[in-house]
Amino acid sequence: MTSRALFVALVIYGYLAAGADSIVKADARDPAIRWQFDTHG
Amino acid sequence: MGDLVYIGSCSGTVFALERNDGRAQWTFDVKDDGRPASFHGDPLIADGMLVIGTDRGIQENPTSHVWALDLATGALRWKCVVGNGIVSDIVRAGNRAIAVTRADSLLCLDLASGRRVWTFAGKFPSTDVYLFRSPAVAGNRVFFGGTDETVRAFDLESGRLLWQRSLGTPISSGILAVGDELVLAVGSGALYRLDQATGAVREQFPVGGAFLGPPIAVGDSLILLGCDRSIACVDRVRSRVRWLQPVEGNSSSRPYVWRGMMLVGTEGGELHGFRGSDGVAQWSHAFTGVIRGIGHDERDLYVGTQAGMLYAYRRFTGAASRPR
Repeated sequence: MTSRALFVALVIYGYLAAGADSIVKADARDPAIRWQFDTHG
Repeated sequence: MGDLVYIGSCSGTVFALERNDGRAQWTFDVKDDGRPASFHGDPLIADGMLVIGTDRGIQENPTSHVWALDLATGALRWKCVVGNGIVSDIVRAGNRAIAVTRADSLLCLDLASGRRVWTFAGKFPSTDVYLFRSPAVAGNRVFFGGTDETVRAFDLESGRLLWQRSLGTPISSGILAVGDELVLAVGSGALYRLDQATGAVREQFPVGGAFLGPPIAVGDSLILLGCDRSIACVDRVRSRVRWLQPVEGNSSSRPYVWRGMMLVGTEGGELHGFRGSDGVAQWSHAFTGVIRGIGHDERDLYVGTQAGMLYAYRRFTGAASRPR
């Protein structure tokens, strides 16, 4: 695993107004999703 | 990296999340420093730091920064003011960090302090068709393809121009240094192989369209992401296309290679995995939102969307074969 591999640039174009709070939850409809994180809180 | 996943969002915040459960360990908000800015390029992770540039485009008063954050705590180690936004990746060269601004300036920074060591001020771009202009480093040379359709090589220590080669066509991809060559794609749909020492064109050949982002080397193959329509695997040595697969509505910011699969995300939220050896589609998964960046470790994928959601995704499949 490279150190670069774990970085995810979420958005390439366009600015999204956002708060820093987060939401962490699993998606009960999709067992392949271990967790999801909302950068907008 | 370690037990954390790092995310740079277009809202100007870096998040460090626990890999196991997604809980935030720390955040760093660049908006505290002034007007909104975004993270659009991949960072350099080195010497306990995450080094990344922010992007405010090339509009009026576009001041952006290169930021160095402590990996463990998110504390600011240093920041360097740059004149225009940075979309490029940050590349390490010994104790230096190399970046390219949207205004085509090539920056060489001291990695420990953020001090600017040297700068090449390129020609201000008249068009922003191809945003991604990341540099490459090999030995004591730094390579950079500008919007003026010219590839240049610089001495790492002094910043002295070693050679320049005009290609006469817009450069659409980042530059990859592999072996003693440079590889890059151009807007007319060709792939160039240049000699690192002289800039001489060793070969140019059609690859079926314009390709974006950085080419990814896998053995003697190159993985290329084609605008919004395709992914391709090229035999770098024989200068021929091994396979090319159409992808409807490709939205990934670059090609990704994971466990022998070539990954592409789409505007419809589909993540596709193509077998490296022949390009045959192996699987896909539906997410919600336009897929942009993808991170990974051995077990999991971390899929980021334009709407600001990050999914930790685990797929239980065997490794596929590498490109032949």
